[in-house]
Amino acid sequence: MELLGYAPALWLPAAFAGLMGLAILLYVVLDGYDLGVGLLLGGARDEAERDAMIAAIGPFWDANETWLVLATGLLLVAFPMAHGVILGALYLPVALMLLGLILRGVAFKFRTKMAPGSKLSWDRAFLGGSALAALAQGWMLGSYVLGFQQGWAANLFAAVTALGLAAAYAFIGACWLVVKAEGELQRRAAQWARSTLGFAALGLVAVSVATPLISDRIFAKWFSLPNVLLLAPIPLATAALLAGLWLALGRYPRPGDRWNWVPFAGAVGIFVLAFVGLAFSFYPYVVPGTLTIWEVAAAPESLAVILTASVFVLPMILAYTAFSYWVFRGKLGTLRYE
Amino acid sequence: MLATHEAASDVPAAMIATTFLGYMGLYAFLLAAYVGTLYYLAGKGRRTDVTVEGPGAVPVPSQA
Repeated sequence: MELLGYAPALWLPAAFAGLMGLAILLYVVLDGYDLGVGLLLGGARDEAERDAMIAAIGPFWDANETWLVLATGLLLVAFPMAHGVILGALYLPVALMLLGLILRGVAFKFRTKMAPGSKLSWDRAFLGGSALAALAQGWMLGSYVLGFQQGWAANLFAAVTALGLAAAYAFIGACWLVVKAEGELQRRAAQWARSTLGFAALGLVAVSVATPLISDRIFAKWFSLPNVLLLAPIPLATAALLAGLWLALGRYPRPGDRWNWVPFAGAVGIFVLAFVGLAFSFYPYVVPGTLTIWEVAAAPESLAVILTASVFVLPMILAYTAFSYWVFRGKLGTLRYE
Repeated sequence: MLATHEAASDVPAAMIATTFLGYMGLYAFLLAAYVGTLYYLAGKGRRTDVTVEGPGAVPVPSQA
């Protein structure tokens, strides 16, 4: 089953790397904004505002997490050896992330089922679970970028990326609230987006500087000619989006609620550019600097079967995701569980 | 082919024990919360003043 003259053992691992990358990107954007809304819950003034914020993510948050399951599943079936190495190296942050995701999932359901007096406690549990998951994912990113190095400097860098990714999630979550909320909450969401943008940018700069410095191979990929010219649009467009959003958010909400989708679209653009930069840096390595996708790929026969299933499953997930966003388009409504 | 101990990761045992206890603690807490929720919802659903009318209606016994 050759593709454009390439043997299956060559193109199938690349195809699965692409699918896994797509799943990770969609997870980071989609679950990123609802984790961010969970983080921002700490800034809500009262129960009504917390209800409104939860309602803004209510129809979407659990479907958003399916992309994490898909990405991890693809890593396991397509690159089983890398799955063992990566999840072994990231054991503690993965365990903490799962604890956080469990806690926020249960808190989301229990906050309106329990006695009214305990609602605030479950909102705090939702905030805590969101923070734990976001920080653990940021720690994993930092650890991955450094090739799972140990030591105080590596831990300090992972702590910076943990805070940076949590800030980025809060930023995109605030942009989502600009789309979905109205009135005072929308105005405050624009302020939150502006105040978290700087911290997210610091995390982005930290990863962007560290990635080429940690590896001669990655440095050569970015700074050799003509790559340095061809790749320049990535950092330039990212910087332009960051600056443009910082300026624009000062004028939100706009009269008549026009252009309320622009900050969220800009945030998605920044996430996509950052992901493209990371993917370009590390490709074709799935374990940084150690194992390429071809060295750890499952047998081509197995990959061919899984790819056939993926061709049907992935469009279905995309379709129901798009359908749910279409059904629940517009401003947030009252959150109901019955 | 592969015994369990041969397939175990090299993650330190202390770390595995810590996360195991963390999961057990969280699930114990969530189980208690779940039972509490069931009691609360069951109590909330109890009716003592319901009157049912119409053909085939069965009076609801008082639970006072």
